[in-house]
Amino acid sequence: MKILVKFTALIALFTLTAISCGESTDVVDSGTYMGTITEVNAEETEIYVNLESGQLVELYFTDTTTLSQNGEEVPFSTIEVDDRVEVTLEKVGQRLDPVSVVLLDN
Amino acid sequence: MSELPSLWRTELWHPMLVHFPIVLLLGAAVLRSLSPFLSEDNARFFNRASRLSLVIGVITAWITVYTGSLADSIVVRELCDPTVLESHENGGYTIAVLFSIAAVLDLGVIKFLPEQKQLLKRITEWAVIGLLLVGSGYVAYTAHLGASLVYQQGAAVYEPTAGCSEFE
Repeated sequence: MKILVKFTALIALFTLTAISCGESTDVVDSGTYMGTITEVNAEETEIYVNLESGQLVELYFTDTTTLSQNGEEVPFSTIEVDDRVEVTLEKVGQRLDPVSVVLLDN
Repeated sequence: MSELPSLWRTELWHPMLVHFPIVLLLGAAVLRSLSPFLSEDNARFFNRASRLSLVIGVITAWITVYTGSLADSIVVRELCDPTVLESHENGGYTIAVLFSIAAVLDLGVIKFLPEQKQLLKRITEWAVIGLLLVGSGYVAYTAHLGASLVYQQGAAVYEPTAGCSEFE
């Protein structure tokens, strides 16, 4: 009987894990926000930023997005996880287009 | 004059493949759910058919998840509401994982469990049915989101020019 309970619990655990897996991001209004980078995807020029409000936003760089540090433009490869950033976002529908990303001193 | 884009472009591999797991996984769920109400012979046939559908369905589901991630990176910048894509992606993973667990239980546990473990076998069979039914609900929900992406947001859809010159 003990094995049965463990077995059922294991299946339930796997099922719940499967159902709850997956990242959930937020949509915020247009504006400038401070936050920390939690994930960088260089291939897709994509970053995840954890804003000071606790919301997580997923940002895809556009052709016009500017990236700078100490007043100078820097390449995307400069970005690292845990970098502090100031991002200016434009909300288009429910999509967030980064207008500018400024890397701040940690 | 603009050129008509290829039907073999990367973002279209996903819609080409996605209908295989939809049919196979839902088919597996229907067949397996009916089997407890059938005679032993018919139930055996339904279970075998369900198992085959499930295995091929799981393989095609993971291929579909992969092609979906390829399409994701191409279409996400064009969408007005990428949160729908995110939910669709999460739904796809959930489907693949739920049906994979069902397949492992079905093939590994039920098939190789000793005959004397009848109670455990029976519970596992019902767990498989439960997983297939929950997974089917996710298939319906995720398919609905996929349709929303295409028909409401035009994901991966080419918009012909006003004069249709590319078709001349």
